[in-house]
Amino acid sequence: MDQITSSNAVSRTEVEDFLYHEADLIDGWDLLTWLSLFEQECLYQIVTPGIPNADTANADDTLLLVSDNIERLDQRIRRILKKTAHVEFPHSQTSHMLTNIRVTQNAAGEIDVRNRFLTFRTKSDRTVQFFGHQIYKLTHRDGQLRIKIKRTMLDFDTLADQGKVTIIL
Amino acid sequence: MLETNAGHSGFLEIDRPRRTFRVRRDAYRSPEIYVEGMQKVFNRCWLYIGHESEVEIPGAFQRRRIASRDIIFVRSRNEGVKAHYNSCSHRGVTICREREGKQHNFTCPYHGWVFNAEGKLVHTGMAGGYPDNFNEDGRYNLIPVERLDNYRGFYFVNFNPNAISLFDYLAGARDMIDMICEQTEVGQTLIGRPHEYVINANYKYLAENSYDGYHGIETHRSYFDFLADRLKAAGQEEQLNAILADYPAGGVGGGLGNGHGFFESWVPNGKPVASWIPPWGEEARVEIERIRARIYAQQGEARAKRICENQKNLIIFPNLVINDHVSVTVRSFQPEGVGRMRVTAWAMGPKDESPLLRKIRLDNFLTFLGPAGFATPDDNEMLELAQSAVTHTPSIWSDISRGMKADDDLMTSHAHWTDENQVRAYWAQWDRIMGGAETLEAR
Repeated sequence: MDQITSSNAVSRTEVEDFLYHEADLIDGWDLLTWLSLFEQECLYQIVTPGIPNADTANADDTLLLVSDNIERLDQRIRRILKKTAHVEFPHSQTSHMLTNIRVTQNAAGEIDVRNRFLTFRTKSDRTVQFFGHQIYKLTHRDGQLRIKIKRTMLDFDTLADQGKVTIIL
Repeated sequence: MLETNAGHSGFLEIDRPRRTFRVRRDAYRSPEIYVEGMQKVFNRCWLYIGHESEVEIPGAFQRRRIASRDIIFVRSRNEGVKAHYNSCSHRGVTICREREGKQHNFTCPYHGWVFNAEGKLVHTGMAGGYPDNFNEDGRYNLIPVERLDNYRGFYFVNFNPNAISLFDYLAGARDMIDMICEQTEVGQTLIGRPHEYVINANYKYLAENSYDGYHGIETHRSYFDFLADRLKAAGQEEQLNAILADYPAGGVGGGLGNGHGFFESWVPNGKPVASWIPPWGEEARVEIERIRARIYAQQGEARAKRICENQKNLIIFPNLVINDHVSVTVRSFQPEGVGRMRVTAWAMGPKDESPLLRKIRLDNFLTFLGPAGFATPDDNEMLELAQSAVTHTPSIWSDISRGMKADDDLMTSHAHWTDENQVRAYWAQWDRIMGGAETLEAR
C-alpha cells in the first residue's frame, strides 16, 4: 500500500514548489491556510539554539522552544493572529528563504526533506535574522503533499539578537 | 508626610496620605544611574550563579557571566564547588571558552599556563624561565570570586568580601526555596540547556514583571483564551470563570525582606508537582496523586496545599526569579546596559521524576513560558515598549501605588497578589542601597 508507485512518487521540483508555497503563506500571514498543509498527526518543532545533538534532541527530555501537535499549533496560530498577542501586533513582516533542498523518498513512500533557511523578521524598524536548517517529513496522497513533521534547528548560540521566536519559521 | 528622599537615593516619592508611590523614570533610562546601580547594587548583593545539579561531579563546570564578570563555576576534586574569575593570571586571556563541560584542568590558549579546578597554577607551558618559588605565595593562581555560598543547592556569589551571609541575605525568600525543595525527597535538577535571550529593556522592568499579579489578565489575554479553550475541552471552564470573577482575592503577594518578594495564587494550568489537569491523562493522574499524598503526609495539609497547588513567583533581589507554576523555572537576568538584559531560563524538576511527568513538565513549560511560549513574549514586548517610551518621552514619574496603604511597611507588607506591595519592596531596597542607607554588611 505504501510502496512508491507512479502515483505517489514525487520529484524535487514538486517538493520545492510545495515548500515555496508554504513560505509564501507564512510571509502573507495566511496562517490558517498554512495550517491546512499539516497532517492531523503532526509535529511542529523549533529546537533551542545551542543544545548538543539538535537534530535528534527529544522534547520528552529536553527543553525545546516549540513542540506543537496539531491542537497547540492551531492555538499558536489563532493566538498570533489576535490583536491581544501584543508581540505580533502590529504583525511583523517576514521573508522566508529556502535553499540546499534535498529530497529522499524511501521504499515505504515517506518523503524526507532537508534544507537550509534564512528568515528575516522586521518589527518596529528593527530587523533580525533566523537561520539554520530544517527537517521535514512529508506525506503524498491523492496528489497532495502534507507535512507530518517540520523541525527547525537554529544554527546559532542563543537568542541574543532575536530575543524571541514569535513568528512561524 | 511626603517622602521624597525615603532611602536617600532621591528616586522615590512616597506620599502616604495620598497612598501613592512613584519612581523617577531616570532609574530606568539614565546611563549614569545604570553605572551607579551596577557599582552599588550588584557589588553588594548576593547574585545567583548556578545550581548544584550543574556541577554534580568533580570537573563539571559552567562558564558564567555575572554582573559583567566572567566566572568559571566548577566542582573541584578536593575543595568542593569553586568560582574563579575566568582570566589567566599571566596576561589576562580568557581561559575557559566552552559554555560547559567536564575537565580537571583549564589551559590558557596563549602561553599554555594550566590551572586545576581548585584554581592552582600547575604548569607554565614552555620549560624553564621561572624560579622554583615563582608561585609560592599563590599570586599566580586563578583569582577566586570574593564570596561563594549556597542555600539548598542554589549557589550565589558576592563581590563584597564583607557582605552579610547568604542565609541572612535571603531572609523570607528561604521559605519559598524550601517549598520548592520539599517537592522531592531526592533533590531538584536543572533539565538540560536553558533558554537564553535578550530583552531590550532595563533589568528592573523584568524584576517588576516577574511577580506582577496585576498585568496578567490584560497582557496575557490571549493566553487566558488558550487556557479557556483547554478547560472547555475538558468541561471545566467554570474553574476559570470562578477565578476571573474575583481575581484579586485569588492570591497574596508582598515583600520578604532585603528587597525579595513574591506572589502566590491559584490558576488551573497544572503543576507536575502536584496538581493534575485532564489533558495529562489518567496514567499521570495516578502518579501525581501518589506524589501529592506523600507531600501531604510529610508537610501537613496547609503547607502541602501551598507546595502542590499554588503557583508561586519569587524574586530574589536583584536579578533572580524562581517560579513554581507550569514547571519550576529558574530565571536569572544580567544587565548589559541601561536598556538591555540577557535572560537565562532553566526548567527545573525532581531528579527522580518519571519520564512521563518529565515530558509533561517540559510540555507544560512551553505553553506559557520561554521566548516562543504563549505568554513570555508578550511580557517581553511590554518591557521593550516601556523602555522605548521612557527613553523617548519627557515624563518624570512611573507609578507603583496599587493597593498601597498609609501604614505599609514597604519591605515586608503583604496584600492581594494583584497589588504592588512586592514591587514596592524591590524599589524600597534599591533606594536604600543606592542612597547608602543599606550596605548589606554586618553591622
